[in-house]
Amino acid sequence: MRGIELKNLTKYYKDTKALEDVSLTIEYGKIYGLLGRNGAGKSTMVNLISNRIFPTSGEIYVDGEMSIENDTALRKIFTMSEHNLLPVDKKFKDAVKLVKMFYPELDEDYAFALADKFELDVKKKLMGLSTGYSSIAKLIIALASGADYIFFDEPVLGLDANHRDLFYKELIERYAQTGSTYIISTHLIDECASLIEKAIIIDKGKLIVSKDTERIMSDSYTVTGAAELVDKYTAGKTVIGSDTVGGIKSAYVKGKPENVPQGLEISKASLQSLFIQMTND
Amino acid sequence: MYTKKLLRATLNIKEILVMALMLAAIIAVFTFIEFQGARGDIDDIIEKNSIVTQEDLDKISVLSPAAVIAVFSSLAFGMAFLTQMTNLSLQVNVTRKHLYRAMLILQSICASIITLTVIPTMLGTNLLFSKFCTGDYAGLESKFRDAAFNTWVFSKDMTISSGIAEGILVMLLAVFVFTVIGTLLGMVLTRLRGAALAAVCITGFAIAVGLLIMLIFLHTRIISISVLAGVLIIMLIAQHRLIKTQSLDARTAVKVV
Repeated sequence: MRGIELKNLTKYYKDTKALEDVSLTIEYGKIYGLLGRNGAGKSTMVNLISNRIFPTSGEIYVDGEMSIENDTALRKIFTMSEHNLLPVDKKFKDAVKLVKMFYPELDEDYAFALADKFELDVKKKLMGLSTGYSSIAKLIIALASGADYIFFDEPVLGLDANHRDLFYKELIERYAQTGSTYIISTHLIDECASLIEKAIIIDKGKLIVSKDTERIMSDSYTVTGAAELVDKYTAGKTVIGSDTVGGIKSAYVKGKPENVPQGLEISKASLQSLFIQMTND
Repeated sequence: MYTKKLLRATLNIKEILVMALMLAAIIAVFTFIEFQGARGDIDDIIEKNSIVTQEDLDKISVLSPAAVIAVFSSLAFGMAFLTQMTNLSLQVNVTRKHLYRAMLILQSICASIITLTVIPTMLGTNLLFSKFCTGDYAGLESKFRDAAFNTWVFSKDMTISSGIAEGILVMLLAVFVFTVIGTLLGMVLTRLRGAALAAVCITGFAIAVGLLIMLIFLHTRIISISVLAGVLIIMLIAQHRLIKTQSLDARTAVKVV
């Protein structure tokens, strides 16, 4: 089976537990959202899969092959990280050529066409780019890399709304063309919600959800109304969390709505609000 | 394959040439300044008209400062290359095996550049010294040669072989420094504690032994160089073996190997 499989993955940084016994499968050909609060373990997971760090225990398989120190498996993965790891004294066009040495499938024409769309100066050195354009340069190289599994760690950092929108559109288009797997680790959940087919939610180093986004959202709903009425309705039901503003309460309930009394409003829960409730202390 | 690619991506001919030229320029300027300063010291020695001692030789030595400058300048270049290469290896998911191999080759390249830069400068300095010891200073050259032979230099010929010997010594020292820095940097940047720490321990031990032996045989430079070269070779082999077999955290290494 094609995909990345994590088996009982645990990572400690000295005494700090970053990831605990995580087991999941990232299927080939899907767009994933890797979600979690700050310090939840998202970057640790990405770095482990990319062989940048090693697990304390557990195993990672890429298309059935153990990924650690395995050149064949690692060639299928490209990671766009928050920090720039490319030589900053190189021009964008040279950086593209440099990455192509390691990723022969990298589509140079596509990279330069995308640079044109983002109005990125390809002759400018990476160190001379603004925060936003530095992210754009990394995004373009990742999208063009031709790898089977492309990880984006905070891809839209420093990007304005227009560029973010352009990135999301290009990602979808590229996905349609290549059918590769895209894993987006981000805090801007609402913006990415429409792209994400599957969500992986990590909290305090533990995997709490790995499901189809649609299923996560259809598994729960929001009930809004007078606090007393909401409490009465949710009694005996599994409540994920709630928000109260004034006398109005919104409760996030698992399951399907049934016998809803008058005065209460039922709506579909957004991925972001569900995420907040799931990961709130 | 990836080792070669990593090196190609990090270094290019233009950058190496710039590095070598800059080193040569720094050394030449520094040596010239030192040489001018040595004139006064030689005058003092002539005035004193006594036997030339090791202290006198040290005073007029124009080689050591140039060598130090060469080592530190190339160290700065090398550090920049090593950091760049490590970061790139992480970005393009190259395994540690290739990274460490490339690091070792880079260390050797940097050391070779130092040697290629330092040897001609040293030869030039020695020849300049010979030329300097004419006219008012005639006869002084042989006096210095004799003194040098009894203390530091292993050959009576102060022009060619002593220059080469100095160069080799500088190169070996440079490789030493690069190996230590490279390993430490590799450890920090790649967070590979197991292998790198062991390599650093071995390196540290080797340096300690090397220095001890050098101290014992300090008066005979050829022995110092041989010992240093021997220790260095053992150290590099040990480091390479460690990298090969322990390029992972101990636990995962067992599973993979």
